[in-house]
Amino acid sequence: MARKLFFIAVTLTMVFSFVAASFAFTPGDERKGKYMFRKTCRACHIDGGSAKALSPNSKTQAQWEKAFEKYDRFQCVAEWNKLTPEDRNNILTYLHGHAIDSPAPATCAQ
Amino acid sequence: MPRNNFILFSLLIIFSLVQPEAISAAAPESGKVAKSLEMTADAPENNFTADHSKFPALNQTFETGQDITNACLSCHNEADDQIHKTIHWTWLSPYDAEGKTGKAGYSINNFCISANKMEDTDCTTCHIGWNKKKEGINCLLCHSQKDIKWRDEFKDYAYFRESGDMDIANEIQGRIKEGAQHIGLPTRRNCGSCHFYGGGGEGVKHGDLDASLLDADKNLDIHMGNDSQNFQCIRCHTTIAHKIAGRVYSTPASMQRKSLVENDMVPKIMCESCHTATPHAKGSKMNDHTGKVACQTCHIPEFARKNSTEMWWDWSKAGKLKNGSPYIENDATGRPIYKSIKGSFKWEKNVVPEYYWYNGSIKTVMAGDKINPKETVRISWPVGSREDPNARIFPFKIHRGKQPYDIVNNIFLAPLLSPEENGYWKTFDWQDSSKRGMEIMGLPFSGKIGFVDTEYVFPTTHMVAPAKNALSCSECHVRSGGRMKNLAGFYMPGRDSFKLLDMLGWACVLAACAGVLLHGLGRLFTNGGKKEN
Repeated sequence: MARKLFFIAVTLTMVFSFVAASFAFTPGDERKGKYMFRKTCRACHIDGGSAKALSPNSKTQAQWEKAFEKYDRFQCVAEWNKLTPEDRNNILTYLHGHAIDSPAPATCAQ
Repeated sequence: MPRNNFILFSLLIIFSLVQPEAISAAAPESGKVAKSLEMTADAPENNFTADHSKFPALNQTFETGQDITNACLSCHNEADDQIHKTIHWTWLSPYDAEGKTGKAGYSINNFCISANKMEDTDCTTCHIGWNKKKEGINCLLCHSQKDIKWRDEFKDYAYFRESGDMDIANEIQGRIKEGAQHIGLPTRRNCGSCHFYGGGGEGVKHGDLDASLLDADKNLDIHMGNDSQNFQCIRCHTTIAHKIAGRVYSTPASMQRKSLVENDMVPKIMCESCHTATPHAKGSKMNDHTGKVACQTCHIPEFARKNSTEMWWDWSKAGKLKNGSPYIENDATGRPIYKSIKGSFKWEKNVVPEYYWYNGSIKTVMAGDKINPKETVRISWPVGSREDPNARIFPFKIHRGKQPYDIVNNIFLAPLLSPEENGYWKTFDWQDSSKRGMEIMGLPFSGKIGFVDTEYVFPTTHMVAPAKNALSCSECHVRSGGRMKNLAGFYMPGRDSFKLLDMLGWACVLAACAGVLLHGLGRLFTNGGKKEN
């Protein structure tokens, strides 16, 4: 019995960790995220702009997640703080869904 | 009377000391363009007699881009007829009766290769229509004084309005209205929104036109520098009925090399138009150059002086994947050096141009033309020679690369690229994208694909440096390694020599010295010809 319980516990832990790894955040509204990304981030992060150009396919899904976890170290942290947590989550949803290693990588032209 | 003259002279001296600017403004230094031109170069909206925000036609909700176009045309009722005849709309050269030259025709390059007669969607991002040539003109791309991504805004507006998210929809509509009501002559930002980003990114195509010109100083561009004349593009690219002067590909940029003093109705595109054909100080040797050397040659010592420019694009490397996914590699400056969808790139900054004789025309190889793949294919090249009276030595950016061709038919391939068309950027399938691309072009495709080295030229005419940074004589007039080292077929002092003539000359010099020496010695030994007492 103890062995069975142990097996179930291990399985559940593994399942949860896999799910957590693939969804480190709860997906939000991708369309709103796309809009907010264009409106806020791409004001500077464009080709020839004051910051390095960024599109969803500029990074991998893991890189985007990391960027959104630790945004307080970016120079533009003030801009990040102007966004609500919901906005940030929506933007991450958009970027994550179209990252370079996603099934549908996208530039901002698309 | 002499006393009166003395008083007048003294007054003039005092006046010039107190008001030096008044004197210099009244008599500008020769060769310098009067500073007062700057007043009109800024082109602020409030210089105009119409405030567009007060027009009822522009105070409405705009559901689509076409609504704005209709509002514009309700007053500017000839504008669409004018625009429809321009190359900005047709993407076809007005000088080619066959209608083959241009992005909507068979013109190709070594960047994204071909626009497939405007069927490749991503390539048409820069077209001035709301939806290619199928819908109305987006007047705002060139005339709105607000920086707005029009297609994105309308797409988002429609989505959020449909989904009932009116807060965001109203926010977008507010921006659309603001953009539609702030109208003026095109600024560098308007023109640059396409021309600084050609070839798929900032600084990709032109070496002398990139986003650094949006906020240029005089060291980057003496004409467009914010701390200098602050010219907008249209200051030189004069426009009549929406036809903009100064295009330099299949046709000469200017049919006449005239100054405005001779005729103020010629397009003011040439340097000579303002600076005359003898712009340097009277008697200066530099004035003797202007018949054979373009102003740009000495006055644009390097291009891409602030941002780097792409110099190499190798399509043969495209298609590599990492863990089954496409990827991008950037260099330390953030410029891409590899993209799975496009291949590998090289970027350079402060690039020394290459020099060719150029009479204002450029010849091209088009899709369907036979090529010789055993050597580097020049997709475009400048026309001109030393014997051509209209040709000058001119600086160029040469963009080199490798691109696909049909190894059986010996013609360039025009693959479909855009993801919207399931092109190469989505499928990574050269066969399928080439087959469908060539079908659109009405050209044969054998199914056998190779890659060939190519070159594509860009005349360099912007990023004119201040006079102090112009080339010195020794940049060209040196025995070896000079900038003109590749231009053959004429004698250039300092660079070239004729051995026999040189030997004869030196022999004459030696003979003359020997003569002087012998004569001097003779005088010495004969005591200057005087007889001793």
